[in-house]
Amino acid sequence: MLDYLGIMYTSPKKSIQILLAERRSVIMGLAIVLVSSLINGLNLAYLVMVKGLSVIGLRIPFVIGASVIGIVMSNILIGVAAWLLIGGMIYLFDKILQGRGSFEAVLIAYSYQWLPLLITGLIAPAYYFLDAITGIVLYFFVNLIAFVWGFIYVLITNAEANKFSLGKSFAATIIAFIIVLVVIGSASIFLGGVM
Amino acid sequence: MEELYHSIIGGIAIIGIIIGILTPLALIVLGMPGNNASLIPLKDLDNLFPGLDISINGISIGSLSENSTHYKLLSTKNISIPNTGTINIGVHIDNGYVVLEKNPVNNIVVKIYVKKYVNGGYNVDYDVSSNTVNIDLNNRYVKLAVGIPENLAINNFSLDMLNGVITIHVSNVRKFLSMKVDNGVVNADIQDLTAITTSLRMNNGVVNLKLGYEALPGSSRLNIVLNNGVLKSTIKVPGTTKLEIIPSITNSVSSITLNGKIIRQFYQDPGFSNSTSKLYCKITIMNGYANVEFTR
Repeated sequence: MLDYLGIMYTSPKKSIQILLAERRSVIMGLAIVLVSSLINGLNLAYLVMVKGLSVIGLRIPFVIGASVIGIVMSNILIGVAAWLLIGGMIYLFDKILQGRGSFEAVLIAYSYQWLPLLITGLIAPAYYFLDAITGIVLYFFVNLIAFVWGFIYVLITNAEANKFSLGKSFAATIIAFIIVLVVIGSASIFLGGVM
Repeated sequence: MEELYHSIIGGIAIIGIIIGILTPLALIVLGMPGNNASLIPLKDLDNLFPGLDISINGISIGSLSENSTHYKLLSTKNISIPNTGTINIGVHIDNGYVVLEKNPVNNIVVKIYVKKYVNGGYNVDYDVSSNTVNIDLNNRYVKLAVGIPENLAINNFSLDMLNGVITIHVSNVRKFLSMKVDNGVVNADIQDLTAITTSLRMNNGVVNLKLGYEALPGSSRLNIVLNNGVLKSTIKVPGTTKLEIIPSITNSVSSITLNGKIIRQFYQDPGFSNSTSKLYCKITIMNGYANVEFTR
């Protein structure tokens, strides 16, 4: 099990070949997304609801409890939704670029985006020793690194899942990301205008 | 060899998962805010909370100072009182900001401020009669600064607080010093203390408490009960006063020290029972984060 997980980090190309050959389905990908989102959600909830509120010295146990559950649940739901939605869009552009991977294979490939977040869990104790604002800045910095790291994994695994070049994988992935960013940006501007 | 390498990386990932989940979960359940070491300059964030600059540096709770730019002075009153030598102070706060400080003049000086952006009325209830000052503040936009003549000793000081902020810089409290804090922020520096009973009961909130005892003429008691919140307390005791400390820490990473030495269980100074100057200290911490330092 350990070497199986390790190979995903050290040789993503080889590991996705194994995953696809062994037909481990999307459960593996879903597990990565769920666990990573849980780690991310718990750390964010701690930074905001325990550390952040301690600065102003006010603690309302029920509200904090409910907010922690809300932050963790929303992180998990957003994670799974992003996995399915962006994974679906990557699959769509893969097909346009004559990719041969199935939707299931692309989803497994895209789940590598969350893989670095598992290791970044090691940084969690640091949040205890830092003040709230530095902790939140560190949290976003770590997430940014994990995002870039995961993105490189996705390029490799998506190329392997579709049996095409890294260039095509990059094109399919980046277009999917840009569309999502444009949609989120437009929605934010629209909602901002409405409110 | 390659398999071992993969196993090591996989092991690191598993440790990452365990630490990444268990660490924040434990800290959330225990409500531990942790230390506050800053890696980035926070100077520009001074105005994060308008009207107050609150900085908490790790276990040492930093200065809590008024930011006068956010308040406008509404009125100043000089109230003369009969010079009986002593005074009693009672403060009740339900939101708002109170400053109690020593004043070189013989009158009690009351200044009322209100936040600049607030239009409309304010409600401050204070009463100065003979040798008693009673303050009742329940307006979050108001700051009340009360200057106590420094030549007066304080017989009884009582604080009852539900939210709000208070800064206390007084001295010479002789009989009873009582502070009850439910939420809110307290920054107190009380010197020349000879009170028979000193008590702090705290449910949530942030308290930075500095007590400086004078040589006690007999037996005195100090009782601190913390239930959630953050407490930083430094208590200076004269060498001639013997100490008894009864610590009780539950669900909390807190420390009680005497001259830097950690007090984990019942402690009594040698010669305590025969001493004519004694301080009985009972410190109960349930949840929260406290650092109580006794120094001589």
